[in-house]
Amino acid sequence: MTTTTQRPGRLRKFARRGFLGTLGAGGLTAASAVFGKSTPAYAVCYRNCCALAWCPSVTFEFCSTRSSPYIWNCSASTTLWCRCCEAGYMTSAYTCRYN
Amino acid sequence: MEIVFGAVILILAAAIVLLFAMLGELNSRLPGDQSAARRGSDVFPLEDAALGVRPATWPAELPRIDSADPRTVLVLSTACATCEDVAKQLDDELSGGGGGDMAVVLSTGDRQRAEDFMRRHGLHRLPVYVDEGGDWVGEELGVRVSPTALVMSSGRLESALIFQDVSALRAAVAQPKGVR
Repeated sequence: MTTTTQRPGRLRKFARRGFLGTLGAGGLTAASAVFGKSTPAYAVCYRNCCALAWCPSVTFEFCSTRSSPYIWNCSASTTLWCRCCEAGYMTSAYTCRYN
Repeated sequence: MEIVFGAVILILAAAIVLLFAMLGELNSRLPGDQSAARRGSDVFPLEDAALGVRPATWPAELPRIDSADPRTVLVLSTACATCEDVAKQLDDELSGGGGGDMAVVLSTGDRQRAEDFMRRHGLHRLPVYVDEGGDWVGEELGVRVSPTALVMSSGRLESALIFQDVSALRAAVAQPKGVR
């Protein structure tokens, strides 16, 4: 007698889990389809006229003495000039001067 | 009831993810702290440039400039925020059916960043030479600052101009020699 009353409840629970599981799997599939194919994004940290690969965490002197740093100058105006330095992972710096 | 509740939660989660994705996309399109309102119209010469020099090597990606008619090559950099604004101006010109008369040297410390820069601003529509480390333009023409316009004629560097506004640059280049 007890088995006949429990069976429909178990079936309903099983069906509910299956439905939610299908929803979850569908959501994951949709998310991977939308976001999985995106091109890599490059974060940029803006400081004056510098657009650095990483936000500055070291001094310009330290950055410029790393191996193969990329050092480039930019002009923010006729009077403000900056030097931007990128030297690999987590190593960026900048320095500015007024003429 | 639980199924309806679960579905509502799922829809809300999807909406939040979509909202953040849209915010991220919008944020990535902002040109940093540079804007048209803050853009200066000054165009002035770069004194360190090797004026009169004919580069020993010329990148195949750039058009040859052997005629006496001046042609402009812009020097931009992925590390330069002002260059983001200049690239956006070029993008707007090209999207509006104009522009296309300039070439670009894109100095970078990382080729992938250069590819990303070009993709974001549609610079594939222009002749672009990716100058890793800025070695070519630095060593051949003495230019290590951006944004700079190289005015070339007969294969030689006639003048190098610092600028921020592409329209102001065009006006300066169009002026008779000696005025700029």
